[in-house]
Amino acid sequence: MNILAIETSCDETSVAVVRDGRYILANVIASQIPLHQKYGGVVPELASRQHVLTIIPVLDEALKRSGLDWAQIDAVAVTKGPGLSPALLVGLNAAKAIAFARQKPLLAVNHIEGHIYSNWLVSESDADSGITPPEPAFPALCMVVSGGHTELVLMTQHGEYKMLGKTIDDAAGEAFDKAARILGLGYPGGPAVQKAAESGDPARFAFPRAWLKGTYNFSFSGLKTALLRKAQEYGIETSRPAPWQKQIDPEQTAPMKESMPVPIVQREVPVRDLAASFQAAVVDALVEKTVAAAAEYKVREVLVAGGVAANALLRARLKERLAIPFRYPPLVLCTDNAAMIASAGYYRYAEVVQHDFSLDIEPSARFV
Amino acid sequence: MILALDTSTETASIAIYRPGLGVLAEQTWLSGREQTTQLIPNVQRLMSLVGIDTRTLTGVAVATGPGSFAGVRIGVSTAKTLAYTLDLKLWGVPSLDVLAYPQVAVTAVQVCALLALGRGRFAWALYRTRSARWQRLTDYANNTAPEICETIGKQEARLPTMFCGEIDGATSDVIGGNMGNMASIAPAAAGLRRAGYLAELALQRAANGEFDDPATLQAIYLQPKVEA
Ligand SMILES: [Zn+2]
Repeated sequence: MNILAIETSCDETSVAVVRDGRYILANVIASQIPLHQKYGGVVPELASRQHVLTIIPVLDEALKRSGLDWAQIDAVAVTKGPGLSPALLVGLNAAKAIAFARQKPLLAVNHIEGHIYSNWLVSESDADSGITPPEPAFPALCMVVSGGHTELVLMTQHGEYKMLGKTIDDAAGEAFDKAARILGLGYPGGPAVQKAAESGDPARFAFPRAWLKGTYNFSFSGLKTALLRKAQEYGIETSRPAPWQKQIDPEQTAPMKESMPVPIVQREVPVRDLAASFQAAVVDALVEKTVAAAAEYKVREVLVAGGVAANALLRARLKERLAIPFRYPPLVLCTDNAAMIASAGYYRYAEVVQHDFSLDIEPSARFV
Repeated sequence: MILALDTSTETASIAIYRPGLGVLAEQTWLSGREQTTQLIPNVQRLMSLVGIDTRTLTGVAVATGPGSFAGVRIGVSTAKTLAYTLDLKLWGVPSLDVLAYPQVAVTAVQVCALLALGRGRFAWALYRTRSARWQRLTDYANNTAPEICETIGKQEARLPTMFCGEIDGATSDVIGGNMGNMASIAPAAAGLRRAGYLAELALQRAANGEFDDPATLQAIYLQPKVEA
């Protein structure tokens, strides 16, 4: 079954074609990072205007790369939420138009569930070498870490989830964005902090870890405050939050991008050490809770998903600490992309297929 | 067969138009914030009413605003994707033109088309028939009702003006108070944007060999700057 999927929940316009939920025939992503960079975050109205312009060229490119014609597309999947309303609207109405025009089933997919299913996709390198890794084994522990989500979810079957814990304040990706803002490292924050941390000393500053004992919940706001205080001790001038920040859906503010040149100067302010110590504290919390939950629920695999899954330290520490297999998507599938929406649409087909065209966006959609 | 779509304000309108014959079916209704949920289901219903399916379509016309940002984007995203997916001709037509076109055809005075943008502001433009051709006299603008009356009052030729569009009682009072007997207000039913007229304006563009590209068609926002 070939599913064409559209994802426009934040600042990426993406269209993909995926066969049988795993094999990517095309996954075209038009990023808007340069458009939002000067604002230090995603401006929803700008994002939406850009989606309106980009949607058709991206759709055209994806269809051409897939080598398929409309008759060979079996269904159209689209992100219904969570995400930015003005952005979601563009993709959802485009998907409806295709499904209506070509009489295809329409599948409404939850964005976060999509991130989890990025672990079902066969990576380009595996596909090139002719290897098909087995599907993830249940029960699996999913750690969804993005700009707005930090959740530990037990997955016992397709569509069967139990929320074990989540952040009670900032999401991990949001914490990275705020740290990057405090340290003047630019946007997006995740890769910027990681880059600065590479040559820094993670042990120099003992930032607090909020363990929230007896739960699988997370908290990163105290850590952010500690970083801010320490930075101010060194006389860092912290930029004020942008006035539009209230408009921004926190889930979506900190997609991690593969690379972004950031000016790093080790002045008297130990920016690199601050970044390294901050990153170590975030990763510690994520890893400890994941290891504990994996043991308690005797899962067979750990699946990491979402923008922060691109963090190299997180991957390295999980590898050290977990005795069971864990997997994470290749970088291009960690950030928002339509291939993951196609995969979720395939495995959840019966539950997400629409019976008419009255589908609406769900900016605050939940999946557990 | 042309499908015409207009969701640029809370009032939506759709029509199926056969070139050379006219409107086969048209529906205009208060859709509110339900345009996403209501647009395709109503297009589907209208098409089945006249017994056609998407394979019969040759073109799609869409109102590109000004209007509500979300509303305009719903129409434009839907129309350009239909055009791309079915390989149809595509025309974007400004919403104010759709409003003014039927009025200009029947009146000798100039017409001021208004669309409520909320918070007392309106998108507007002036239209008039000159040398048997209807034309827009001003740029699409975003102002309050008193500002609009003031601008019209400064015109060199003092012409009676007929206002049409989304005009409530309070706005009507402001216009009357500012312009007295130089202003008249079109009946509310004539202030609807009807998609049949949208289709005709699209066909006028087609006759001039004008089409839009689904890859580049953009909405008219009237506030090009997004304040950060
Ligand atoms: Zn995401």
